[in-house]
Amino acid sequence: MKTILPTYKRILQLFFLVLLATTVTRCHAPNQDPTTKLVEVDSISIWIQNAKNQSITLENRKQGIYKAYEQNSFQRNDSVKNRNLAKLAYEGYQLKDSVFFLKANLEAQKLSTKLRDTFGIADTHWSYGMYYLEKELNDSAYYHYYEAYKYFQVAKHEFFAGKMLYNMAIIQKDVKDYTGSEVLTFQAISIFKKLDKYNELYLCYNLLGIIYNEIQEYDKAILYHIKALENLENVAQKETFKESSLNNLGLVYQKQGNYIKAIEYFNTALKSSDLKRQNIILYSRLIDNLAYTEFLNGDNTNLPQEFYFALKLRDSINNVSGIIMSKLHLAEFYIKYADTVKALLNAEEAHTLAKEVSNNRDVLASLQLLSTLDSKNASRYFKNYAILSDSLQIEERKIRDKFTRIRFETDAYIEETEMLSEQKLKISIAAVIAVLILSLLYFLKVQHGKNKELLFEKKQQKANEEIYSLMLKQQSSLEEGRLRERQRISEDLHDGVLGKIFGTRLALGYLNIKGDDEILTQHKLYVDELQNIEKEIRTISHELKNEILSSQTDFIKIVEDLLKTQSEISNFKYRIVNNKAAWDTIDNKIKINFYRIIQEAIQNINKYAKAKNVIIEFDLIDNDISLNIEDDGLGFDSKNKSAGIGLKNMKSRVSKLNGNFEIKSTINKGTKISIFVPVDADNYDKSL
Amino acid sequence: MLIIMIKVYKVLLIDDHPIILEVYKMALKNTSFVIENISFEIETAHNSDIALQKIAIASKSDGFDIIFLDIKLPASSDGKVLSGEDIGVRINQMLPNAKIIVSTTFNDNYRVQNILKNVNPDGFLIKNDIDTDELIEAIKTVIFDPPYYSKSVIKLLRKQISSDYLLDRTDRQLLHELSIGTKMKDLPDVLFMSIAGIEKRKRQLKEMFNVPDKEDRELVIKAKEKGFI
Repeated sequence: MKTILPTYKRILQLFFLVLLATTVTRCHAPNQDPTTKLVEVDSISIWIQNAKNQSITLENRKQGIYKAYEQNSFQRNDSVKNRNLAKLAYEGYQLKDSVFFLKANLEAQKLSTKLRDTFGIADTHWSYGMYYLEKELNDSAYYHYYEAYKYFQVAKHEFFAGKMLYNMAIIQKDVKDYTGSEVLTFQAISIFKKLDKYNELYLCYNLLGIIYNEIQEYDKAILYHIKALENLENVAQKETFKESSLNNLGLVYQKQGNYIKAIEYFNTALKSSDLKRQNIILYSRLIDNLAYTEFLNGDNTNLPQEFYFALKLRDSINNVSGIIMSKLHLAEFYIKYADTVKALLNAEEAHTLAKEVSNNRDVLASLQLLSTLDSKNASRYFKNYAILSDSLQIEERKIRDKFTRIRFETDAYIEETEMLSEQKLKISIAAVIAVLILSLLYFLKVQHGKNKELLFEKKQQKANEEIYSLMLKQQSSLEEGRLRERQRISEDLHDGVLGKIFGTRLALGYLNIKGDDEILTQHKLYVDELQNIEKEIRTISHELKNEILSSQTDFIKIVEDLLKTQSEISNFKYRIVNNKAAWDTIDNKIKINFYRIIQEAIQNINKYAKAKNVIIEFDLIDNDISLNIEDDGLGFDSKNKSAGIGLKNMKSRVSKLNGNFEIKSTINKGTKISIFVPVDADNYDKSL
Repeated sequence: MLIIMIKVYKVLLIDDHPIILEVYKMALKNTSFVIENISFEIETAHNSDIALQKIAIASKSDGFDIIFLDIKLPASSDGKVLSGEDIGVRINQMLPNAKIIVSTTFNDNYRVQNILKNVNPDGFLIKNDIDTDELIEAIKTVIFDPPYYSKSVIKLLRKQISSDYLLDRTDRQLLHELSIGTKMKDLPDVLFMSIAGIEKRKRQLKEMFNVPDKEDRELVIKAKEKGFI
């Protein structure tokens, strides 16, 4: 007899708790989620509202969500679509349309993942959890609640995270992992307390009361049930929670053997006027529990009528588990009063029903009863009982282990993810450093290259200048040689030849020529002729010397040579105007660049301009040397900015000398290049 | 008995062309025919060293009355005397009574002026100007009524006197150096002036000769035209 009791009570409480769990989940309707306060005006929302409408047929409601789903699938992949999917999945679950629910929820989960919507992901896991719980796949349900818990935490939604903890605690309690369940419940309580969620706190304390009752810490069980009732004071929608708590308290006292107190509590609960209408299952359960406690207390005044009343109520609403319980209680009652036939009948009916709905616990309870009742088949029943009991225990242990594993695996997964992300971070840092180093190296290389280029340019410049000064030297030494030679010839003529002729002429004059007048006249004529020759030689000598003046040296000479050769190419006439005399005081750098610019300009003239006349003019204005190169060729559109490399070169040369470069060109009128370059300060002082 | 007094003139001929020495001798001989009672005692020197030697000896005895001096002479062996001009200066110091007849082919004004200034000769002959008669005339004039200047020299002097330009020695030297094509960068060493100073002087000269902003060449031509070089 005694041995039956724990099983029976457990069964009772299980049902009660399933009811509670459903209550909790019902509190969670996705559209109550504060983050999605959408104005529901679109047709999808209307269809969803329609699906909720309890006044139309199930089939119509299903059609509603199908249509909503169809319409929603055309939407953009955004958070609105995602939220709708979650709602639809939930409605599918409510309407017990597994196929639709699984489809919609999976889609919602995928979309949430894609949108990185952690709340959405958590929500779908919650829905899965409810779905699997209903299918009594506790491990799957537990897994999904746990996932939901994690994601709600990530989404910083503590309230829902707490709810998930509570759901998990219930599942753990169901598989008799009381310690684990207790831990989770306390975790949930700490969250709800912070948020002042009295409804949830009531549920948690109620759960704790049940747990402590199970582990036979009755005082604690009573304490927490009373605490639950205290919290209930702050809950607006009390429903039948108070009666449930009273029922649970009654059960604790009943278990303690304090039947009077238990009966008192059951009666208090039953005094609630509207209970029968509000919650007929609880009402019938209270009557059944009251009857059973009276039976245990040995008070048979109202028995077995009360048992039958409860059974009748349960029959009327087809509450199978209730029916089984009533029949089991009746069987016990009849055993005590030795009505074996009735006892056996009730026990067998309970056994059959329990098997039908695969309620293992009730099967066990009925088997136990049967093994004591049916002496013929006692051994068989007992054997079945033992096998089932064992397998159930193994199953429960397995599931408990599984929970641990789920949590462990998830934790391990988290750890792994953390490790991976740490690794990722390390890799990223390494990559960034590598990129930095590489770019630094590249920068250094480029800089090095630039330096080299600069150095090369400098060298080239120097080489250019050297070439130029060599050219100048060559030119001037050639010129000097030529001049020296002229001077020598001039002096030889003047001093030597002229003197000698002079001497000869006079000597001839003083000769005493004897002869007739004609010969004397002739002699005089020749002597005079000699004097004329002298004059001629002197003139030649002077002209040779004057050439020294007219021969321009150095720079202008070089420019002239250039123009002389270049002008032969396209046959233009040229004129060089030089108003700047002291070219030998000007820095070679300016001269070499001027020379190159002229070269470039003349090349352009030869290539494109087809000019007939070219004027090159040098001048010194203040302390600027100016160079003008003018031609009367074809010209070009000087507004056309795409200057050729030649022009660019000229410009860069001038800018190197800190000078101004200007080019004016008119089509068919010619081109004029004007350059101003400051004479270097040193040279400027000298040339003052 | 009438004693005819014959005046004997001691003459030194300095020229590196032997034929010219001969010509001078002929001229002197002809002069002695033309003018009564004079004769010439002639010595010759065909280079600076001999000339200086003879001048030195003469300075301790009777000296020379007339010295024919060629300007274009090879330098003396000790390098102290570079031209006849230097010898002329020496003669003025050692034989102040000697009459110098400069005979040169030079006819550029700068040199002529310098010779006039430094040597102050009694006769100035531009070799190519003169003929036999003129040479005799020159000798006569120098003996009895110096000075005798060749026509070119007189023309030059006239040109200068008539012009307003006031040129100092440095101006003349600068113009001369420009005329013979001395390089700008070498000028400071020749004139003992800075480049800036030279440029400044040149600019002033250009303004003076009314060729501002023109090339040096224009300046030189103008100065030559005006008889400064």
